[in-house]
Amino acid sequence: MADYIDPATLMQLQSLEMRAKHVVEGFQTGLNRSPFHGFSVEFTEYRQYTQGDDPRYLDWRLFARTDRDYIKRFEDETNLRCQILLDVSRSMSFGSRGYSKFEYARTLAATLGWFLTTQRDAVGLATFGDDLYEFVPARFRPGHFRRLMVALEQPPEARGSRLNRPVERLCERLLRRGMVMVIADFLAPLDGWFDSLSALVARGQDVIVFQVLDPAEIDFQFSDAALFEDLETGRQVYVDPRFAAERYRKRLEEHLANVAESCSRLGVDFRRVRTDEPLEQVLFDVVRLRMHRKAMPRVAQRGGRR
Amino acid sequence: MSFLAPLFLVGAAAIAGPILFHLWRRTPRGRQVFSTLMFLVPSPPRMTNRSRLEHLPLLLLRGLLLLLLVLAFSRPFFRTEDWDRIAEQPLPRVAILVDRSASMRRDGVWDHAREEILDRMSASPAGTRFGIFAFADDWSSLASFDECRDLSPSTVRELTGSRLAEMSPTWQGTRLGLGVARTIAALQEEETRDVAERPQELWIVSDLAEGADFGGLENIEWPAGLRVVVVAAEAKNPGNAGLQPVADITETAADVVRVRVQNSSDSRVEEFTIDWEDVASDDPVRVVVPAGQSRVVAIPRAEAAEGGTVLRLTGDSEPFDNVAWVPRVERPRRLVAYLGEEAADDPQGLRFFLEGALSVSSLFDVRFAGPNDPLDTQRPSLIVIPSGASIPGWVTESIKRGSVGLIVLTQTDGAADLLARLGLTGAEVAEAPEQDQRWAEIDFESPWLAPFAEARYSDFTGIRFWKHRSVKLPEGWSGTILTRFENRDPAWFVQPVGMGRLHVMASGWQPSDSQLARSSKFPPLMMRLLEDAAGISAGGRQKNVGDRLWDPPPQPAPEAIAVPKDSLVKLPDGEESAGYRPLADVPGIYQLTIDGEPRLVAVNVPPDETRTSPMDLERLVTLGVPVGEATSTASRAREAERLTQARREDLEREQKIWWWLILAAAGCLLLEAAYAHWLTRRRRDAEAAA
Repeated sequence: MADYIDPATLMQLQSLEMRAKHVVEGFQTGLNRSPFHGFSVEFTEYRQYTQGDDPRYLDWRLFARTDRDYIKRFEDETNLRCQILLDVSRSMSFGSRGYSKFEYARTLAATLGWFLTTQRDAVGLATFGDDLYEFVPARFRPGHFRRLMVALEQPPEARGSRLNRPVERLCERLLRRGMVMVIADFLAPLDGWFDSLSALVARGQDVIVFQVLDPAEIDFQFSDAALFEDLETGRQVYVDPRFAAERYRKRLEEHLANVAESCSRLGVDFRRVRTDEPLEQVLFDVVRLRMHRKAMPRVAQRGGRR
Repeated sequence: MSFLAPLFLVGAAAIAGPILFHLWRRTPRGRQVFSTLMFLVPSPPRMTNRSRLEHLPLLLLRGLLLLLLVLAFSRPFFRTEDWDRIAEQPLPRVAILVDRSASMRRDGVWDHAREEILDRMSASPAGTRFGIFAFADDWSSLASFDECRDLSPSTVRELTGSRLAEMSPTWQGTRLGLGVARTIAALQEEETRDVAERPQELWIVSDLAEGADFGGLENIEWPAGLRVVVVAAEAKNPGNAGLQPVADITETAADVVRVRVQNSSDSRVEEFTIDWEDVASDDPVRVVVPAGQSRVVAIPRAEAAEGGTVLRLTGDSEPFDNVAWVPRVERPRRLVAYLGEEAADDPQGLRFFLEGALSVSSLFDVRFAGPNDPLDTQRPSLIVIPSGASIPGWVTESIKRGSVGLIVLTQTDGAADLLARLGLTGAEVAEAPEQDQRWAEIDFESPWLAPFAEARYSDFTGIRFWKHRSVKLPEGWSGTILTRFENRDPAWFVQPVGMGRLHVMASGWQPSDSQLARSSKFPPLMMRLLEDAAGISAGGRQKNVGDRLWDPPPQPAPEAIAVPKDSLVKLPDGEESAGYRPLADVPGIYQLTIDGEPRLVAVNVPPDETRTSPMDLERLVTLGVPVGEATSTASRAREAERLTQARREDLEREQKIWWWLILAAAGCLLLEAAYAHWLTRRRRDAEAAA
């Protein structure tokens, strides 16, 4: 953990691409020492079984055909199609640490994109607010990552965030199964959100939800009474934190619990991300999540067709 | 604690700054953008927060820091005992002496003097002791030190202002010497009463006319440390010309009046006219008098009105001395009785010289009566009795009623009897053995010899008395010895008898006895005796303001007196009349009625008052007057202030309190910074922990 780059330092870098490459590089250095080897799910090559290998990876079909023990070493990732869905509503422009949630979120998106690109996966990007704005389909070809970066340069100016309409339009475009990573703050009424998510899941998409929150939103450590202005609606309310903080935290906690529970109910991977958290850590957790998922029945569900 | 720069204390108001800032921090004027308001509950603004101070220790530290800085900049110091001694340095005692002489009547002078006095009083340091006095021919107190002692400075100033406004200059001369001497006496008297040792000042507020009488200034013993400030009161118009009758009683009989026109040296005009006022006369007399000079002009006498007439000078802008009062010509008859037997034309006798001396009098129409001449109804004014003469019965009675008897002891035979018969009993008369005596002791104070008091007239040593009679006066004799011979024998003595007087001369004036009759002093001596009998003092009918109207008192006493307008002279009642010698206070004609006969005295402005050109202050210095600079009180106050300030700076420099205050302020600043840092860190920690 100590080797991870502090997000505040990372955000000093102007180039989004550089940030992403830095994080991924750091992550891969750490990965070499870890028992995880990425989350590619496709077969690559065989090798002779030797004593001590995990018998789970024995290819029983080949054994039946040839009577020889072979182990499946890798599965090629070019078949994975990942679509990143990024919230660009105005609430994402809040930040208390010198950079906004959006800055952090798009860095996270770029990092995930670069990581997947290095894994030879196809990555696409869609931005949404109250509608679907940008849509870059998932591809794996030279220059595609640069296109993603350009799409990420758009500032967060959407007046609100709702998921049903963007997902509806996304589903029209996602013809093949793959993975959908939703990066949003989920600081809006949840009506319809999880219906949309369940629609994605129903279409066979593997969904991971990242809820990006600023520490100030979680802790609400304001000391001075002030007029609080809603970034999306522009509404102003006089709030004295000494009297409002406790109630805020309680209501927020309920909301967050609601989000987590809904994800869990849908069987969607959920990860809450604080903007002061190192991105490597987030990436690492995502990889670990995928590894766990492979060991879970859902992987078997998918694997049943292989 | 005192401050060298107390104005910096105003900076303490800056403490309001931190207090306000600590209050303002709580007002909801901040704006905070936030991602969503969906979890926030609006809180009503709490106005009570405005009056609540936040971070009280921090505020106290900041306030203290400011206060220490302000104190350091105002450079405080503590007064020591030494300081108290300096601070309580006594304030001066000032005697103000105002000139009220006639020359102060010039246009604007009195007003200027009054303004100068009031201005200087205002400029004097509070606590100055004042005494205000005035002088002209005499001296008076307007507001004594006693009167002013317990009054506030403003009240003293008001009192002085009102007293000066009530009065105006007199018509008198300027006896500066007398005024200063009396004021210094008043200062010294106050000095003995006042416990505090004070510097003393004398302000002479005057027009500084050169005609002022400095007599007596040279004899004044000036108190040590006294400073004399001469404050000049200036006239609006420079220059002045005046008119005075030439006081010459021998001229009065002539058909002209001789007047002197005097023009001051700073005058700008030199052509004047003189004319009678209210009397038909010929054309006015024109006279040209250059500045600084004087001319005597003979004016043909006009028909006099009752009392007297007025000559007026025109062409001069200052009118106070442009009038000369001229009494009507009158030569009352006087009878002189001589009781000796010798013939009137005997040059060896007394009568020859007596008649010769008195017949030329322009004042009186003198007639003489011998022992055998019938006396009219008129009583003789002067009765001359040589020893050995027979005395008629009326003589004693006449003397008692006011006549002057003069016994001349030409021989010893019957002299004692003669004296005894006329009221001087017990005297012994003998022929003196000493020959060739002179008058050695002369009482010039007496009214009969006072006209000879001036040095140029007082030399009687040239008059030799070949023979004289030695008179031994009885014990307890009540009279006055006017002159004595060298052997101390009385030469001339006088004794009152009833309303009259009896003079006795121990030697005759005829050539066989002495050179007196041939002396130029003989006629005035005899005239003086005749005047005494007529009730007119020396100086005759022409006097100046400030002179005594009569001295000695006329015998018999005046029955009535008519005085000019504004004069306060009046006849006294009863017993006081004997010593009553009133001063002429206003120019004009004074008319006495004595024994049914009118006596006129013309009183004019003193001629020296016309000399109004400014005096040379060097003259005062040569007379020993310790003249200081004109603005000495103001400069003394400035000097005292400068010394006090220097002392304060010294004390402040020695004590160096500001240094400790700055040190404390620095400490305070460190504390404040540390505390503020701690507060910030605590908040950050709390935020980080959250």
